[in-house]
Amino acid sequence: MNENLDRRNFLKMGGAVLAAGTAGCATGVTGSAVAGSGSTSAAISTVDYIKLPKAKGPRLVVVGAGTSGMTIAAHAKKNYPNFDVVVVDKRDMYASCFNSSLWYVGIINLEFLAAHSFLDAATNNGYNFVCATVTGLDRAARKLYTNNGAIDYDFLVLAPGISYDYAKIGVTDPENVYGVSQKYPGGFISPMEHVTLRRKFQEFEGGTFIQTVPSGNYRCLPGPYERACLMAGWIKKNGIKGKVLILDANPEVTIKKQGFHDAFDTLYKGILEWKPTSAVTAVDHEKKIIKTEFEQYSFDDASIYPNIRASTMIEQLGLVDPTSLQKEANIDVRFYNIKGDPHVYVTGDARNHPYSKSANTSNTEGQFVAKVLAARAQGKEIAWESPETVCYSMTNAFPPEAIKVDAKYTYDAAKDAITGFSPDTKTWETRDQAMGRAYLEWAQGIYRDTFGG
Amino acid sequence: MDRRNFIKVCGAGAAAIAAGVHTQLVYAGTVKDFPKVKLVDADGKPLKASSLSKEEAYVFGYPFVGTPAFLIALPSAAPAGAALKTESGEEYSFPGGVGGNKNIVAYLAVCTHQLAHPEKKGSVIAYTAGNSETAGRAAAITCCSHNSAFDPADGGRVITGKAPQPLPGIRLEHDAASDEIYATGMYGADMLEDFFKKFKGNLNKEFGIGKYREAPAGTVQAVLLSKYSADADRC
Repeated sequence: MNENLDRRNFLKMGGAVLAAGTAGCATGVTGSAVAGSGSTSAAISTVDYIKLPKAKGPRLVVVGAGTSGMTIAAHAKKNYPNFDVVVVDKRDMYASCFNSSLWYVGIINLEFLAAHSFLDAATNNGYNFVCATVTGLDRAARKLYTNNGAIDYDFLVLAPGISYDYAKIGVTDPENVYGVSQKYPGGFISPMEHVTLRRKFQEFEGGTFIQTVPSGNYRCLPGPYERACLMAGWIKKNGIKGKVLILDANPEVTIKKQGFHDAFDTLYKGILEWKPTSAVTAVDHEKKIIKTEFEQYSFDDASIYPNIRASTMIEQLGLVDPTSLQKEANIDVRFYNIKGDPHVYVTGDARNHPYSKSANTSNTEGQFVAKVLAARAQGKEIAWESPETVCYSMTNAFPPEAIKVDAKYTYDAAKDAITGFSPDTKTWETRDQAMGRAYLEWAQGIYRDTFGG
Repeated sequence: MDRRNFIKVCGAGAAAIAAGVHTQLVYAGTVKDFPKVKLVDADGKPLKASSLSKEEAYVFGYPFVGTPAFLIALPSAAPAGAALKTESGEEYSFPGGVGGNKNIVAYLAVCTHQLAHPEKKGSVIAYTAGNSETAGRAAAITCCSHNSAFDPADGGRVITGKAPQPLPGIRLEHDAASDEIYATGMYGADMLEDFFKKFKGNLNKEFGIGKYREAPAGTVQAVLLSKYSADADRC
């Protein structure tokens, strides 16, 4: 046993003791019991409570310290100071996914992405940060279980983000899943993927670099195209005998297509090749071969971005919308609560909406959800507001030049559904350095909003 | 912020119209007095209201060295009276422009959304004289970072975007006899502490440790944004 761990969090399994949720609503509570005297097994308890300061008002627990969760935590207390806010995340170190591709080619440094402390965010915004992994949920008892103990809540926000769905690109065997995900990471979830992809950029000496683009509502629609542009720019600048091949599952570039096509055709002619309607159907990570329906491609290096789905946490907690193709949460389309449960909310990229899964969407959505929670804690309701997706893409790195979209969304009351972009959606598709600069300030603004006071 | 610098003015008027001196009037509760300073150019000569470059933003550090403000001579008079409200619900009125043509206004040059502001290395917030795609009109202050826009002729009111409140105003005084311009206080949202909190590290680096909190003494230089920031972006 690790003597550094709090002994209260351990169960000696001399008897059969296991965390048990309320019948009917508890899902996914983990723990293993080994009965019998003299057992050499022990397990971390999910029965004890995490020792938190006594709540002075309704407790709002936010799971997931990404853009969505951090925004909600910061703004909920501003909107309703009585809230006792607790943020739970399994990570203790932040590094933002947005803007990360810019690091690969040296437009920004690692400090830009990672010098943001959960401790400062908690202090600046008057909440408590708990580093723990969620292990279960009892919605009847309003109790969240973690590997460090339970937390009672009045309101719970789950913002766990996404998981990869390798099966959708024909990668199902665990040996292959691990081979592909470790050697050729998608680079749209965790910081370690970005460290690996940056190394790939820096070490690329020639040949073919493949960037795949999945189908569906994947995270950061322009992200894989931007990364391909940056790699092509890197090849061009360094005179490397190589090229970038984009295998796109979609029939057209999914967003800002004019701006991307312009970069493909004018900046990277002969260096970047884009193949539409080329969904990946199989990957051989040993032989470095990607198959599509009709073709097969060899590569020297790659970033294989598989399809995505809502974080597996949503499924494990029994909160999936049965009609969702990406196993997203079964939530009210306007107010984000699990249908029939006004105490549990799912936000960010695990939401079941056609919204862009991107930082600014989560930031503006989070500001709205914080208002919803503040209102409901006081027995009130507020009108729906659309999130806004201001999103930049650096199509040139040398010098940094970007394009941009600014989108909002339309709600159809008759269908109770989000039906598309609002009419005032705009794009700026002629790349320039001004937008390149604004791109960096855009990210800094989101960091300030989520980590600042 | 030093609370001694705050005066809540409830009732009619933050300052009187003395002979030959027009101070912007603010009609309700958000005014804060700060030490009166004269606006001067880069050579230390007083700026004259009638000689300001039209429709170009000047930047000056007010009410503190590290808090950038815009001074703008608008194409036409900016009449007083617009009713405005801060994010926290405080109501106030736009006091209108000063100068012989009543077209000179000043605002804190800090976007009320996520606090972007002019820095030496560049600025994503700027005054756009011509048509702004973000604002959907001309003569607007735009913040290109997340696409908010403000109307400088209407008290800094939000035209579009996620900015939750108008730009805070800088109260100006115009001496008709000398044609000189003074800054005397602020009105509207109180966001200086938030600004300091979020930029303390950068401000220490740019102005020297703790210097950003110092008040300008007697005069303050106002320079064109095009000279203050390496690049000023419009959108």
